[in-house]
Amino acid sequence: MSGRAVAFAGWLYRQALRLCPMHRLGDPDEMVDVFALALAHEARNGGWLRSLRFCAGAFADTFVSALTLRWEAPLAQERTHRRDSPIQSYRPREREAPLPMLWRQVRYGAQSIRRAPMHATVATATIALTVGLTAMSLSTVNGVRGPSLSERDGRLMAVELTTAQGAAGSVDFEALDLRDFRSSQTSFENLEGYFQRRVVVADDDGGSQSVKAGVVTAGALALLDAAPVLGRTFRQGEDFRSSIQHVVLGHDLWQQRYGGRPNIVGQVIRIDGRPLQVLGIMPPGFRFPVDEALWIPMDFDLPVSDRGSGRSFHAFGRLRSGVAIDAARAEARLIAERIAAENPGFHPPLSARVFPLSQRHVPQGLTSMLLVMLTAAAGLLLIGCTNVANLLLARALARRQDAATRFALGASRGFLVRQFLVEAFLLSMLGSIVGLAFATLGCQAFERFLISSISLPYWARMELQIPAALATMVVTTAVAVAASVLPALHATRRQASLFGRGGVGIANRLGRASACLVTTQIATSCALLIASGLLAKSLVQLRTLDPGFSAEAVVTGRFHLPVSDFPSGERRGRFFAQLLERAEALPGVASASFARSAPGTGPTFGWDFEVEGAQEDVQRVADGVPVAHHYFDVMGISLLAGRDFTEAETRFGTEPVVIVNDYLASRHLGEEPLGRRIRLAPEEPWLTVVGVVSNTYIGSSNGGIGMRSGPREQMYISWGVAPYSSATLLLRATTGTPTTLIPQAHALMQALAPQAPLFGVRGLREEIVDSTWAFAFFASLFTAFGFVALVISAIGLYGVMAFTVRQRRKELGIRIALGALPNRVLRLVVGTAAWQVGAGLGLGLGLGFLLARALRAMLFGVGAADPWVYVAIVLTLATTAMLAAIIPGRDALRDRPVEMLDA
Amino acid sequence: MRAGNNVSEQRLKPQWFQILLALADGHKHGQGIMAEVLEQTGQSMRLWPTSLYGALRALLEAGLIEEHALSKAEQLGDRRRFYALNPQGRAVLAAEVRRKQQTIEIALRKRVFDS
Repeated sequence: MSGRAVAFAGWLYRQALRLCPMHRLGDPDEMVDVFALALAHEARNGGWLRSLRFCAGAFADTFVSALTLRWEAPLAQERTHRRDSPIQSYRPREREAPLPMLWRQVRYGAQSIRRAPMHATVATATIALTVGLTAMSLSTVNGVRGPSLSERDGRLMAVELTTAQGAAGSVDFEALDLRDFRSSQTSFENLEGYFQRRVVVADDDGGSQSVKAGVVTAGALALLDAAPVLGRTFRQGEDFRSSIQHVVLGHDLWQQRYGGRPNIVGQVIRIDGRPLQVLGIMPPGFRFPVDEALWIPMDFDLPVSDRGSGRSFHAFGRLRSGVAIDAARAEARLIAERIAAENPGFHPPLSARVFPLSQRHVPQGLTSMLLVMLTAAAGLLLIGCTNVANLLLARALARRQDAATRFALGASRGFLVRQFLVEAFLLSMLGSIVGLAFATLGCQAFERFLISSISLPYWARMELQIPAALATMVVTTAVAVAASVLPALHATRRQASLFGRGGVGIANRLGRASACLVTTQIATSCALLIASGLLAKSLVQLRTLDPGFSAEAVVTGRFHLPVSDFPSGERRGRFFAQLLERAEALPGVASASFARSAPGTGPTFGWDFEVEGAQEDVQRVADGVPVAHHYFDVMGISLLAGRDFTEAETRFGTEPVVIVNDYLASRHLGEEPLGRRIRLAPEEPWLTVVGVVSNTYIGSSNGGIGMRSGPREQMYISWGVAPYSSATLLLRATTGTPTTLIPQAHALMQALAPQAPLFGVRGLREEIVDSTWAFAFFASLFTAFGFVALVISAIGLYGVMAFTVRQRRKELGIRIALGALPNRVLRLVVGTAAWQVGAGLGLGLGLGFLLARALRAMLFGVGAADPWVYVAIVLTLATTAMLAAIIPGRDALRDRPVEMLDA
Repeated sequence: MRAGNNVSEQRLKPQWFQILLALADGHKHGQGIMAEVLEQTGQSMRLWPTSLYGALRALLEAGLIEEHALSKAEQLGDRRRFYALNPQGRAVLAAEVRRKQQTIEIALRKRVFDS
């Protein structure tokens, strides 16, 4: 330890000494000298660890001494005072200053808390858990409710085209739509577009690396008010196809990959094999639209491209100040209708939606989820407060005799009530501090252990929110204080105080209040536990259920064939055949196929179908997806009967065939499904069933929280029936790390059709996990909460039951003295408790069912009325409650009746 | 004398006893007392500076020790105070030691060391 460190420690010590009344010590300079000398001695002989221990001891000693020295004087005073007049000591001395008196009360309160350590521990733990968990859940809600935006950013709006019929999903913007929109709109400062994709950065600075990229129109970054820290962003016109391509790097990527070198600006790096010049660096923390690491311009050619050939993307704009969102909506709808009317062959009738941009990447259902979460937090607070109230009420009732005695001896009412108040306050503060520490640690642990396994959007944070924490503290403290002060007020009423042992009436009344609290508490815990039980079961289902396909080792990427280059179905068919042939020949690829969309990633649509020779008036709906041959190989879906599609059936204009899943076959096709024929509409051709495959389960119904389980009718239509111009390429890698295939996939498309690059290339597992983050997040949180709610309720129930039994000790003693058998008496005690518990459970089941219905969108493989969960919760709570009644009852009955009567 | 009587009646606090014992063979300054107490208790009693000076102040007030005046030469370049037992303190210390000695004799007669 260096001389400077010793000097610094000495300085700190001198500051600590200020806490002490120096007139009761000595010369501070000398003490600091002694401290420094001893510390130096320790450092010389024992190293830094011993020096540290010495410092810790010396400081702790200083704090303890400060307290004892300040306490000793008044204590000594009080001792003499009490000797003089025992009654007087309960009264505030006439001219005592308010502060020392309060200090005295605090000290007395601390003593009385120390005298009942069990009660103090339970109360502190309860307050700590309540404050901690409620603060934590409020912080969570705040952390994931969406990115926080300035007023100006709040005017950033997403513009989406929708089909006029309504909710069937959005229609993607294309370049020409954006151009038309831009030229006719007046509500927005400007309209820009973006989409997300994964690109591979490969250069000398660290090999190839796959990162998320935002592909943006030239004005997008400027519209976001994002100024680069170095260089510049794109200029108007730079999103068009030009000889030099540009890229803007995010701060993190710049730091990590390029070591923060400023001269990177102007250099050329390779992205997806293309040389791009670095234009600028964005500031730290800038991410758009979700957590992209770099931005490249859209390289579509606005003026010449025809509709249906360009890449689709999301559009957004900033509302002009003074323009109401409704006005913008009305205008957008009109423009969308006009665009659809002007391009009848391409667009169905269109409408438009305008909503805050911040909501676009928030999963649907999150809002209702957050509401449920808030309800849960409120429920938790309620349980906790009920507990605190019960505990303190019990304690206050037990001490009301003491209060009444002191009152009779002349202590003022205010003084006595203040004493209870001070004690409740002390307990609350102690509990709150522990609770806040607990919440801080909890948030960190939650972030580390849970979030690391879930892919969260960048704006989701788990940080303790101070206002939320303070609010819970205030509520808990208020409840604690009220629960302590009310009995004290009662006990010190003139008439009650005359009977030191009395107050039976108020005990009864408070006992009834306590019974109500028990019922409330059981009901709330029951409801919370049902919700968390259902969610926990969902989580288990989601994690253990075999989705019916294997997403590991699969890479997906979408592409779109421009109509101008691939005008006919035949031309497209040739391209697809070629693509598959080349893809399967790639090194590292086990099998390759393509489909309209990959399973488990995004919405599925139901198609009506009819079965040849079956009743016509039955509505039959199936999820339909056109796929190529080898699709089932790639996805690991097993073929149960019949055969896979042949290569010929993938080509255009061949025999139309279909493969159905087991569920559809058994429900609609009878004993012998192979060879039967189905069609999608009367004017469509009949499709012959050539195979039956196993069911697949996961389908995210709206790309967000909502998860669907259970088998659904599915049909896979051979690609040749409907050769779409856009498709999803699916590659299964021979090893477990599919991302190694990403550069090859890009290169392949580049070679075959440079005008149709792959986008959205990523591992399928990653994509599925991304689309279910909110579910996993909340289910984990709820499960944890349910467990804690159970623990708190159990503590509370035990406390209250024990208290009730104690209240009835005399009555029970009389019964036993008169000859009642202990078992019968115990049954009496338990019977009373059973009523309260029963009422609470009944109420709780109803509440729980309501909560579960609100949660329905989050449930996976579990009904809102899943009987097993309900039975398990009721049994657990009933057992806990009964144990909480039986144990104190038995304890009480162990005493001899005489002692009980003396109670 | 009254304070001293009070102290001896109340029995000495262990820390006070150790400080008095440390001063029995001559005057010492604060750090000396600290080291001596650590030594004579087999490293088990560490008097941190604040406790030490609190105790010294209390002992001064109880009239058991006094500040030891140093000669000019001894004082040179040293602002530390030295403390020494006064007759009162020595008497109290002796009484306490005697009490301990009696206890020990009783214990020995009862053969506490023979297992």
